[in-house]
Amino acid sequence: MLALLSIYKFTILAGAVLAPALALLGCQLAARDRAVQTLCVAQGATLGVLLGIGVLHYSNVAESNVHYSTILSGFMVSVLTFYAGNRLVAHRLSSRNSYFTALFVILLAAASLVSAVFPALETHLAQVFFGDLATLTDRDSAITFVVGVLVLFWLVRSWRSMVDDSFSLMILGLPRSERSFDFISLLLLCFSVQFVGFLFTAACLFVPTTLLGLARGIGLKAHLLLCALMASFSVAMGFAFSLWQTHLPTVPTIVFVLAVCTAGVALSRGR
Amino acid sequence: MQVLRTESPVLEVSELAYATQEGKLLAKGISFQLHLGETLLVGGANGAGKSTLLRVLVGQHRPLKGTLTHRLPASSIAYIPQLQNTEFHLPLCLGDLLPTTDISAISEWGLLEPSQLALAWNTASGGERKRALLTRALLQHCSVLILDEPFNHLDRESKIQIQKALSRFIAAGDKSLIVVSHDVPPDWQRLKSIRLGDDEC
Repeated sequence: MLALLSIYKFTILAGAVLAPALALLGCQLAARDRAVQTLCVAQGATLGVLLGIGVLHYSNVAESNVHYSTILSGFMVSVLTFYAGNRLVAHRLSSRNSYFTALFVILLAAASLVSAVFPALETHLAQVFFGDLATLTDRDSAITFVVGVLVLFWLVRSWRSMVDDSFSLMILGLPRSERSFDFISLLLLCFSVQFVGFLFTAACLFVPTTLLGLARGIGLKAHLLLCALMASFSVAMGFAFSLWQTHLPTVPTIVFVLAVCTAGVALSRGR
Repeated sequence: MQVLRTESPVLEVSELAYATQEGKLLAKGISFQLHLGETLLVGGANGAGKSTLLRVLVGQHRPLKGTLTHRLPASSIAYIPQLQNTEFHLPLCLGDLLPTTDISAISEWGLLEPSQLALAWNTASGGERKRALLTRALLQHCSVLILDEPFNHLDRESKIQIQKALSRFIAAGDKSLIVVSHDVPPDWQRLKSIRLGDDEC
């Protein structure tokens, strides 16, 4: 067990830094009622990554080049999904989530079709959906760590103005310039889907803030801090648990630990 | 802040026309000038385009034609629209909305008690929410305050508190107010009004 922890220490550290970045971003996305839109965009990134893998494999590009090149295809398709989704719901105050859900289902079907068209994509499909932190190389872990630190720094530095913007958008209906927020969110989403998978990304984004929303008497700063801490702690604990119980898949274990621990904290504060 | 000659209007609107997003004409031929120290009262029936006029004034809705000249930077204009949603995902308290934690500065406007700063936005009453939003705008030291139905759905006490705060805001003579409302106190001075939905504007 200790030997395994020693092997995966960089991966655990990288995940424990990326997870709070995703959790804090998820607080702002949920506050802007963009959870379903975000799942849709993440599904776009998934499709883009699969398309990239399929095309590059078909063109006999070396596997080491495929891994990093597909971030670009994931980013392109997620940007397309983001703008197409926004066009679809422009000027609609209600039923936005129905449109995004429809788009999500279409993209899900497209991902399945792509995996059927290009040979040997099934493994990649499962990898992109459910992820596997244990398969990250040291280089991947180092990149994940740096990306996590950078995004975390940006989120911690500008949390106040982000909350103000979220409030103005949702409560007062005042448009705010969201360009840098959208751009960094899209980049982080694509990176996260590509490196640690759709499930890890979506869980870290929305499980902590949603479950902590059930707690009574937790203030804004405590909510943000607890979201970040629970995400980070759950990655370390979930990963360690899956190393101990080797038959358990890593990411679903992390998600389960995250849900149980966050719900425990929320319920301990009363509803 | 830009220094204005007292005779220059801070806002000048000429022959303004605007429509809904679907293209239905809401109002046309709207002209007025607003000087510092003045209050503009916007009236009209439901659906006449009062809220849209305010959104045109703050640059959130593009007019069909006409000119709109601001002589103050956008940062000196505060706008409080009607609430789009009442529930917010994050656990904000009323104090989180304010740009300062200085209790004396907050209490100066007489809208919020220190004990109310810890109230959660999601469980605060409509009156407490409106008073918090107005305190936020007043603490930003704006020169022009634009309010959409600030007295709607308020109890008598909240209404009086807000009217008093607004009276203080315009009393100094170096601020202007634009209000969509039917409940303006009779003691407000330098009051102008436009009525939408009528032929004359």
